Amino acid sequence: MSPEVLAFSKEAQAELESILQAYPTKQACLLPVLHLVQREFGYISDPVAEAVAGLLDIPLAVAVEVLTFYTLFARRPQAKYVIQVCRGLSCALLGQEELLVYLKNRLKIKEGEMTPDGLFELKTVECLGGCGESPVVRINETYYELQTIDRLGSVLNELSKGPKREA
Amino acid sequence: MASVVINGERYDVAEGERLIDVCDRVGVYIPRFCYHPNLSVAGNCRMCLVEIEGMPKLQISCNTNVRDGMSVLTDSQKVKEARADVLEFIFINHPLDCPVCDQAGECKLQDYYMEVGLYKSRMPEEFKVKKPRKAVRWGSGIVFDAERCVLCTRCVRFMNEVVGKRAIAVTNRGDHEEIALVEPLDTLYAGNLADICPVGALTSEDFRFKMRVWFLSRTDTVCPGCSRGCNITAWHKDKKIYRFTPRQNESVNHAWMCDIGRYSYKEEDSSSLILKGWVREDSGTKEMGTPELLGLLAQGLKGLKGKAEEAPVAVLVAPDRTNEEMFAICAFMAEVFGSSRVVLDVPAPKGPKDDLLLTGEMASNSRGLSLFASRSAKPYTIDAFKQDLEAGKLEAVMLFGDTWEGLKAAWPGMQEAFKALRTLAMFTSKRKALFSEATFVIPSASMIQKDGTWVNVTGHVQRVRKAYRLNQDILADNESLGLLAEFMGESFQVGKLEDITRRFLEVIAGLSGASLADVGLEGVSLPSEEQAKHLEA
Repeated sequence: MSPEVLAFSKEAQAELESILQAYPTKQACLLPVLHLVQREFGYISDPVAEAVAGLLDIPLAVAVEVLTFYTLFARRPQAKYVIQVCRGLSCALLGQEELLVYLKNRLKIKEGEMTPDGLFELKTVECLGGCGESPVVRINETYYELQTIDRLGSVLNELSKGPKREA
Repeated sequence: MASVVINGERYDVAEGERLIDVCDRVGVYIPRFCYHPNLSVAGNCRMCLVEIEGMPKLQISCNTNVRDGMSVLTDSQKVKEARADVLEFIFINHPLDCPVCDQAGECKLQDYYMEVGLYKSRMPEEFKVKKPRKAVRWGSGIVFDAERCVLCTRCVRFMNEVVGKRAIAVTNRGDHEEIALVEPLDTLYAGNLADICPVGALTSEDFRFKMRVWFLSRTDTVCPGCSRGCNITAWHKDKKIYRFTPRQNESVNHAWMCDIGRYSYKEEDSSSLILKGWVREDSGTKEMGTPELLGLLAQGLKGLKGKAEEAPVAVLVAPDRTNEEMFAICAFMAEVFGSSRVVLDVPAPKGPKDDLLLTGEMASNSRGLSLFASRSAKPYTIDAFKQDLEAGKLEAVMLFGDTWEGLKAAWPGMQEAFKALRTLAMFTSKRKALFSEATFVIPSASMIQKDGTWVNVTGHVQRVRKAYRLNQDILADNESLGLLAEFMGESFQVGKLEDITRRFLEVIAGLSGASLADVGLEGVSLPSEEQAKHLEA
């Protein structure tokens, strides 16, 4: 483990130690540690993945396999707001495509891209499990249900008011 | 014991054996991508589905153990349809690039498509998920092509289980799943990755685009690299070797070989071999055909007979000669000169050694030579030879073989000492093995140009097979000695190769009546010392 790569805050360091205590083997700590690292640094770079593997005493291949399997782990810096448009069946039937077109036009980016100011990133995802209130858009960890172009527009207006990046 | 019925035929097998292994052994065909007998079962390709009586759904035969009374169908309509459907899924994102793919001709996707597929594709080219990593050099002689991969994970398991280094990982998920190199391969066994890859995803940098495999002939032989004697197939065309690949033999090398042995095929190329012999005369060297050369040599040797109590002639046999050549050399010396001056303990060069295959002893038949020497009452050692040479007791020395690096390392003054000799005849195949002191050079057949046997480090007798002979001047040592004796006017006869093998096996192992045919494709293990004592008693 290289300490300069995994420079945790005091709170994160405490959390890391409690994770390491909570599981019978070091390998079992991989997912919680990856979550912690992502929260702490915003994304998981290659050197960080290597440091995590070293910390947990597992082959790098195992860490990479887990890390890339879950699409919610980011491998590069993310925008402040990651907009995830559900393209499950219910959402598709109830207007997901119009929402996506609207978002692309308004933000002037394609799927998988980030606005130049680093505020928004646009992704499509498989079913978010909110079919009862389709169409669903998830922004970071917040669900916005029963979305229309108008509603989504005002959400974006609201979010755009804040500072570009978290201080 | 368990009794199973496969396609209506009854077979007696060991309880708990894998169904796919049983089918392979009895000759029932089952297609597969991910299963490999020397790796753990992954069960991810689903190609080996079979119908088992009493089970509602098809089962994969690689992960099914046989039990008594099991009844299996491998060619029912249901199975055939399932195979075609599985294949169609595997093909979904596969590119249509067989004409430019080096795996063509030995690709399982191609084979199975012809056997069970033959459908019209429902997946338009433009809908396929593209993976941009093509012809990526992974190092250690391996080239990776992401979109041809069928994700069988043989390579991942090979690195984890055989090499013991998790260098390859399966990354991402679903359509985007891909294998990736997370650490350098950095192993002497990387070449096996190209062999076990069932498709064109991992290919050999050395072999790719050199030759289409269907043009090549195959000869099953043994690797000359070290004393492990891995079983290999030599692939050749028009008297040129293109590659060595390992051949499965559970008592020697399983299904693997190291890269040192793999790329040693280059030493069998005609550019590395001696094609015509020569004699050193006052005016310089003179090339001539082997019969003329042997005639000249015979004249010289004839004069040495009976010159002293023991003729001033000695022979060194390199640890790469076949048992038959060594046997013929010893018989020639005994019968023609009444001499036992045959050195059989020439040391093998040192090389890499590991727990897998490499023995660190870089010569193919050290064990055969030492076993044979141990049967002699008073073996003529390299030290005795040195003393005789220094005492001026020798006038002519004959060297048989190519592997002298070990001797040179152990005896730095060797070549200087040879200068005192009137005659130094080298029966050698490789240019790089020649000494400048040689007065006669007789082209000897390299391993790919002769038949015979070697004994590996564990005492396993294995067959070396001839693929071709480059020209008529090249002879195996047992053949050239027959000619030499004839030119000397001796009645000594070497005999047929089969007879030499039989006599050799009798001498070293008491295997009376054992023949070349018994050695067969997989070789025979010699009885260990204890077993041999037990047999004698």
